Amino acid sequence: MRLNFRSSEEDLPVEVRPDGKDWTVRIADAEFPLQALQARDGSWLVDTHQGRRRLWVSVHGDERLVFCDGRVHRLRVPDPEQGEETEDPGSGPNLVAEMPGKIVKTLVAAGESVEAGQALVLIESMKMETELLAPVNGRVDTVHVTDGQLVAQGDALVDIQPAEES
Amino acid sequence: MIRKIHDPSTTEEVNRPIHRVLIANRGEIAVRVIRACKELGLGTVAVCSEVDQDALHAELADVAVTIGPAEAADSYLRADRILEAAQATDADAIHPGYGFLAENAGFARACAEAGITFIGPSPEVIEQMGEKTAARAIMEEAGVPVVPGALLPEPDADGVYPSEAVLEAARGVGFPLMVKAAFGGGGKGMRRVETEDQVVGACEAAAREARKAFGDGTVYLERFIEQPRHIEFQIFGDRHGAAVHLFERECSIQRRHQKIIEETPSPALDDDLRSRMGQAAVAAARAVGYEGAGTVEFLLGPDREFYFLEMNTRLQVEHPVTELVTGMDLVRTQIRVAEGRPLPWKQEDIASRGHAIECRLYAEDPENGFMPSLGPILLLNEPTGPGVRIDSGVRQGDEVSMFYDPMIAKLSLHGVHRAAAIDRAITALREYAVLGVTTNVEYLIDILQEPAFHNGDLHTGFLEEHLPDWTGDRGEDEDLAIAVAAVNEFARLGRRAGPGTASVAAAETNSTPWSELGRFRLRGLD
Repeated sequence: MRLNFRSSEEDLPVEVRPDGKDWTVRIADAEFPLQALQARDGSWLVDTHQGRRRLWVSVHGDERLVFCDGRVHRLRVPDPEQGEETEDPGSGPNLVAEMPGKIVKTLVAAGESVEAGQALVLIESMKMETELLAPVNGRVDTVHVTDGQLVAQGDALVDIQPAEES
Repeated sequence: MIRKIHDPSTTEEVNRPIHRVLIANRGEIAVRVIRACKELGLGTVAVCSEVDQDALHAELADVAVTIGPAEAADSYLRADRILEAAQATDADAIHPGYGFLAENAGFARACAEAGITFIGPSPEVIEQMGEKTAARAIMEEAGVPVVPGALLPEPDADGVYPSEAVLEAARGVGFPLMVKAAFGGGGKGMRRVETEDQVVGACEAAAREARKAFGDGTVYLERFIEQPRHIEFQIFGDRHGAAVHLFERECSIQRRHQKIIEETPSPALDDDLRSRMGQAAVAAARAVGYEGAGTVEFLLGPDREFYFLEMNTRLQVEHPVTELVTGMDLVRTQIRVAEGRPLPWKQEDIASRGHAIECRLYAEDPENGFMPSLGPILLLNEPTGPGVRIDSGVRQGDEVSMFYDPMIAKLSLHGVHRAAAIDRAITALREYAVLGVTTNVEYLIDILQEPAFHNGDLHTGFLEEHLPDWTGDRGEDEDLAIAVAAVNEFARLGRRAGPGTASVAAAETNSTPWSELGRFRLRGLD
């Protein structure tokens, strides 16, 4: 079985095949045997030269989280049937809420020119206030929120018309 | 304030038996208190916000009353609705936990007026200890050492201080010094001052900030203690005039005044210092006629001088470490003492055995400015074993919401000595799998593995000194994690985990070790 994992910035082709009671795994150009057994609770028991280790894997959309001895490894498996990953909404010119919160204050109005890095909205989540910054230079098209409003993750906050490249 | 001391000969006198307790809190502390009530055979009433209706604490109580929307100001801080809930459910006592209304004198007073027992000290004591300058004065009078400091002369109507008089006060205190707000907390209204020329300006700025944040601009001066340890004593008092301490907790591992790891005994104290600080803590309790569980916080300087910092008039987050080493149950005792019963122990009955450490699990991302991490807990594996205690308010599948404190659980460990407790903490954390929300588990492990931590060289600036700009180190296990994720994918999508895989093999043959065992046993009986 061939998979394509994405770890941090790196794309890693991974191949896995059962090999008797064990497995053979190839990550990029390195191939190695893996003695892994799935426990009743779904975690994986792996025999390594450091002894037996237990890893937990969670599957959430295209995200794979692996817990190993106190550390969490984050991987993505872009779904081959869905083609390329949908674009990360955070990378466009518009500002969206990355986590649910309460708008403390909007700092800009429609029509205003903004510079990349300028604070647009002050948001409060779990008792912490955070300034959300303009991702690009441009002009504020629409401000979707008002002071005191509660927002959910992914809600549009401020739309920005990016400045023409000169 | 002087309390009437009841005749101590009537030792089993119960002034007001408690039958049903409303817990005015949420999360792990609400769960902790509900369990203590159940053990005592008392009825329990939970209050919850609209988003907490299926939270663990709401499920565990006999009754759960929804008191308002998610925001704490509209629910857990609504004294009026909580009292209404208590009356509607015939609760005759309220346990406030910590945070929310726990140190709100007005709430304690309203409970008394409604004929409901507030499980905590009197409103007067809560009020006195809430104002720092008043608390300092009471402690000084009782012979408890306080950080050398000075009150300031009144500023004029424009907020300008008489500079000569302020300077004189500052010279008396010594430099560096701190300007602090009398009603302050959380670092607001606080300024560190290095030299004489900064004093007046710092006072004016701190006073402006304090007026804005706390509605009162009173500030005072305090000597700055370099590299202090935060050491607090658990105290307990009863209505009959008894007061004891249950030893110390060291809480020097803090980030922005937020405690992360606490332990007892403190590696800094010897028997002599422990006994002197314990006596000072009991003197502090007696000075205000303290009733119930409280905590006296001290700063301990590198010169081993200690100073009263403040008194917390409630159960403390980190109370489990005290319970682990003393074998006492603080919540159970709080309830009994609130009924008017005498303390079940004398000072000489209380001993500390072994060493206990508490690690606070926060749903936050230490690699990303400790931003809160929200969302569902997709996977949760809690460690277990001898000497492992977990106080948790969440289960797998629960949602960590933006509205409340990001602390989701406390892991407390008891070992025969400090090194054993640290080993136990690291081992347990390495099994504490939380996936979905990001937690500080890895950060906690790295703190516990710091050589300075092992040596017990702690101070409140420990994290800035030893783990500045911390990032996790996942390098060596990354390939293992990827390989296991790949195998997991194969098992999940192929619906076959390969030969020798326990769970799949069991599912296919529809047999379990238990049915195998049953057959074996039957044969054995034949």
